[in-house]
Amino acid sequence: MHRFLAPNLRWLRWTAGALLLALFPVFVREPYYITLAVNLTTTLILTLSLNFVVGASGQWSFAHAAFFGMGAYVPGVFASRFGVDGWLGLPLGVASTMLLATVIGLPIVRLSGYYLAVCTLALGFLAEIIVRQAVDLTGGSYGIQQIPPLLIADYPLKGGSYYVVALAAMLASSLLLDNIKDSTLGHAILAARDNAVAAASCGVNVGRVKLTAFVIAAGLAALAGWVHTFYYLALNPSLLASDWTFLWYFMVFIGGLGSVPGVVIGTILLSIAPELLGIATQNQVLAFGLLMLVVALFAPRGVGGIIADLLRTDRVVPANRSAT
Amino acid sequence: MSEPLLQLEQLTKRFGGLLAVDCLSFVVDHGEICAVIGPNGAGKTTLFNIIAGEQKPNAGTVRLEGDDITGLPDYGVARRGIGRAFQLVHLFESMSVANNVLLGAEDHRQLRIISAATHLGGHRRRMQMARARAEEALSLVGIKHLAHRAIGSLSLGQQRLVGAARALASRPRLLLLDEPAAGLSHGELDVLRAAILGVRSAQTSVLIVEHNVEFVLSFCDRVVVMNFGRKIAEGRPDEIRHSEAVIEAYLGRKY
Repeated sequence: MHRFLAPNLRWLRWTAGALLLALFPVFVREPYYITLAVNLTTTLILTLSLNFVVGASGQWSFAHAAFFGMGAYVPGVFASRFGVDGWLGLPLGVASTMLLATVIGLPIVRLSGYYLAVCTLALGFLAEIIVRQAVDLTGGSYGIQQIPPLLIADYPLKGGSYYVVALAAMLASSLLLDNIKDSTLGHAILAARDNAVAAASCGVNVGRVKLTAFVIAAGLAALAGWVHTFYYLALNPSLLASDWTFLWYFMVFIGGLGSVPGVVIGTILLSIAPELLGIATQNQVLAFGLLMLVVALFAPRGVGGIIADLLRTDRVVPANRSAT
Repeated sequence: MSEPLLQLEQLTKRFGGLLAVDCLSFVVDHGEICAVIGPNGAGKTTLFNIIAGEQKPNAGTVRLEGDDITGLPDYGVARRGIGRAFQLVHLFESMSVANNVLLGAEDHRQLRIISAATHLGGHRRRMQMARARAEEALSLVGIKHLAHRAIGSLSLGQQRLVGAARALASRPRLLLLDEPAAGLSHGELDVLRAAILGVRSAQTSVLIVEHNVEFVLSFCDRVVVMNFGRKIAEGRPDEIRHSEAVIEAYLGRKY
């Protein structure tokens, strides 16, 4: 009985959650909170995809901000310079970022641990430099202003109506990652992380599976970039700064690497708390650093680990959630 | 069925000046349990690594039902129907027993990214099929009751059986067992022997590399004895027990 009900409940939960979240701008009309909500959805796409590539696939990628920036710049540049519609910019930005991730991923997914981290970090710095130098295309350090907004039947999407687009992108990303988790590909990704030799003995092409995880995460980061661009309608090369990647890592670690609910909580906590508490930007790093220290000392598996310990009913380590 | 299941021809593997495997040839037939024994450093593990595609031989060929599979990558050999259980178990530590075995049952030939992301395009049917196969493999080695346990909570013997079940879940034509008895208690050896005999069928042959000579001689159909990379004897267990060459090279005077 449980088995038959489960899939319906899953869709019910997703639909109910989506409707509930979509109602947010109906009740909250203040632009400040709308901006906060759009930023939060963007950041959630980034942290969930980072959690996927680092947590599930075990690849320490520090190029996330670069992929985010590419996903932001490609549609932005096409829209402002060549008049390409913002909706068309979405597949354009995501596809070109995934293509780039494939090309750079082919050699670097063979690396692991520190080597992968250093290599992707260098690529992240390189990406920012390139964007700052390619002045003709990207506007250099000055950036790009007045990008034409997304339109639905000549009606420009902004504020509350744009939030719905951002929300849809976030929910689609989460659903995609949740589906992958319970698929042969998802199992292979975990297997390749846990034990490459054993994964190969099961017929898993470890290199290809790791590259796939890397490219999917890059594509999602690019989607977040697109959401960002058409909310702010302006671009600035500091978007590609590796500081962002570090911030997303903070969120993932404080939430608990590998735990989706934990990462969601970590992201909400670190995105919204400083705003609501009125902590100035320069003090944020200090606050996050202290928080990180506390988490590392007292809850090394983050918020997600605390939740898992609280929910645990028996001493048997829970298996991955069954697909049905 | 005219071709032997596995045919090794003149396999040679050199590590610098050392001949780990030296011009080795033998066959494994359909439905057979074949054991490779030999003293430490005889080249047994290297031989296994070559068959499994982890190392490439300097010369010679590996044929599976007549097809040349020499030099295929390890995952390619697995896809051809050679399952492998490791001495150092190599299980997926973060997963339950059931999911470890499920990994072996799933078809990894294609990535099916779209289907994975949307759960459309036959996703449910494929998962049901894989789950059924995994369950079958768990029953076959008699560890269905362990399905929901975490790997870390199992004994070494139980972990070996999980490794065997994972290898069997892909319904391999040939099962490679690397030192399955190492570190097991007497009780666990009996369970292991029963599991191996239960696995053998017209569809599945077993090739075992083992240190515990008495253990394998008690149930295997045929034995290949290696020393210094060469095959020094081959035959039924009772023949091997009485072979002069084997006694001298390996078993010692007390036999």
